[in-house]
Amino acid sequence: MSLRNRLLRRLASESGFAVPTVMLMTVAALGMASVAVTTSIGGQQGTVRDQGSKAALSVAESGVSQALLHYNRGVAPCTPATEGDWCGPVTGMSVNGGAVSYWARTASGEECEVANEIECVEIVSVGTAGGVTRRVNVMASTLSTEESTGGGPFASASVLSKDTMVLDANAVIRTGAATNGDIELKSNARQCGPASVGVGKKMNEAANAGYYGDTLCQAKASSYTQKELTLPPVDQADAATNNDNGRFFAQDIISGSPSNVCWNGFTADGKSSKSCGARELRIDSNTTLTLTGSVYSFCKLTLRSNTSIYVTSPSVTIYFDSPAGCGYTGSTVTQLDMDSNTRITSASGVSAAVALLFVGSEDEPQTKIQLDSNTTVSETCVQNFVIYAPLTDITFDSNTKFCGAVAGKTVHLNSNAEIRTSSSSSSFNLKGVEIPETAAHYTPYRFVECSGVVASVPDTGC
Amino acid sequence: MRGPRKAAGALRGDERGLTLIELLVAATLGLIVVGGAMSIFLSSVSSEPRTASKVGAIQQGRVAIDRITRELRQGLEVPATPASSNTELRILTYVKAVSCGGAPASTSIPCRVTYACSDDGTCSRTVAQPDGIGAGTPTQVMSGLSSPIVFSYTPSPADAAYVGVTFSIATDGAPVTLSDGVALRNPEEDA
Repeated sequence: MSLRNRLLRRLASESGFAVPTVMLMTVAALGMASVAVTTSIGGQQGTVRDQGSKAALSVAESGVSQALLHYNRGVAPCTPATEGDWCGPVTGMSVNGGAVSYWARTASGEECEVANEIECVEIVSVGTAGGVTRRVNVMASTLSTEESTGGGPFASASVLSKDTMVLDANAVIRTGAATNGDIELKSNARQCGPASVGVGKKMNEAANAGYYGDTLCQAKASSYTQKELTLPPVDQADAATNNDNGRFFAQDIISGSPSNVCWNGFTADGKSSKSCGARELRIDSNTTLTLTGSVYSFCKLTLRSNTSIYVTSPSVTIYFDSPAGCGYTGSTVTQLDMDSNTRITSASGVSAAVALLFVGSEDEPQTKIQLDSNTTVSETCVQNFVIYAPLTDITFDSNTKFCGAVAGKTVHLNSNAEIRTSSSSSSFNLKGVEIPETAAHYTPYRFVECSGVVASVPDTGC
Repeated sequence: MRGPRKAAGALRGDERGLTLIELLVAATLGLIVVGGAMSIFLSSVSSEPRTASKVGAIQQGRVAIDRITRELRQGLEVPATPASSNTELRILTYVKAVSCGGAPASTSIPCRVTYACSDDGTCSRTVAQPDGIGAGTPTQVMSGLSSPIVFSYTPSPADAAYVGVTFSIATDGAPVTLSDGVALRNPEEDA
């Protein structure tokens, strides 16, 4: 049958037209739906572009962060052909589904565009995400070590220990504490103030002990930080030979019985004594020695039974020589031994005015500091000075109340011993304690977004 | 049993068609469907100008808010004097502008950029030198706002570290709100 005949027969047929009708309606519905879908897509395109734009910016900024991380670790992210030239692009990184690449260069002086910037780095980073590309230009400068460390060794906390820190039997620290090891809180002991432990270390707290975030021991705390603590060694320079030891006892006078004071193998009244050796000072029974000089060098200091050292000069630094320098051999040497209501204090009442610096030793004989049964006075700080002894074990025992700052190899508080805060110690720069230099730290100071595409000079258009 | 070929042939030979009742029902249903579709179509056609206007305003808002946040992001400071307000933002930021001593193709330099929004629902942008002199011609960056209150400052206008931007765009119904905000990346050291 021919096509014409079939068509004529179909037209002559009285069969229904359901299929063409349904198809027509379907096409009409699809047409109207597509209009709605097209409108919706058009409206959403702006939103998608906004998201892509923000994502591209954050991806570009991640490139800047990565470059700065390299510089702050002391390693340039790439090597330029000539010093001061651009290097890069550093590519191949994917951040949150976006791609980032960056260029970097070091500059100095006027190139840094900001006055007083000694050295700076310039970074251009390109981020692409969601089909959007953004380019940012950041300049960063170095901060000096002094600015970045913020002062002396006690800038971050007033009680420091190179190894462990142990608080036992009702002992309490009412200031910030930091250690490279663990902090042990035992038997009703309390750490009242922010604490930090060494990396990977922890604070072990007995059930009846407590860690508080405030120095009044009121607000219980649960979180502490982990960070590395550096205690630089003591450099006593020529203090062992060039000092004010010669002021004993003409200018540095005694109140009490001269026979109770022994220095350098002789009592203050000139009699030979075996109770003290070379550069060893020992004061016994109800006697006070007034220090008027500014630098002293001791091997050992022993205070017994209601004795005291009173400092009238604005500040005094007492160096305790190393065991080898003092000729000590054998077992551990107690270089500072205070017992039974003894005290060291200054006329100003400022703890930072009296600094006791211990050279110590990592080899035998090792050194020790013992403050014991010093006071029963509950409200007033009568031990008011700074102890810096990074190689020496320190023990505070039996009701000792200490105001000031302490740094030791280990710190152990026992039997109601208490260390209180002293604001003046935080900024005190100890003579002979050099805070180590740190790598230059680059901080961004100029952030601009660039227009156009990357040219042969990466910061073109920025 | 008949084969499929025979069955198809029989169906093709069936000339009974639709009855009058079937035709009337089909026509009624068809009219209802087509009427509904026409109604939707006419409604869409009549609302299209409003929709297009709203989409255009939103797009304009997006462009403006992107420009403002970009300049805020690379801002040095929001000067304390003259003070900024909820309707007027003054910011010292890096731009390339002739009116503050730069050139469009040169490196970005610090300039004072002022965005001022008014009760007529528009916002304009003016670039001047950092001390405020030599201001260029204001250019309109936004229109169709239902409120001139656009800017917010944290912690305060005189010491802003973060600036929020909110456009409330007037529509036939409820206003459409576009909101964004950024922290200044180049704060002055004494800020």
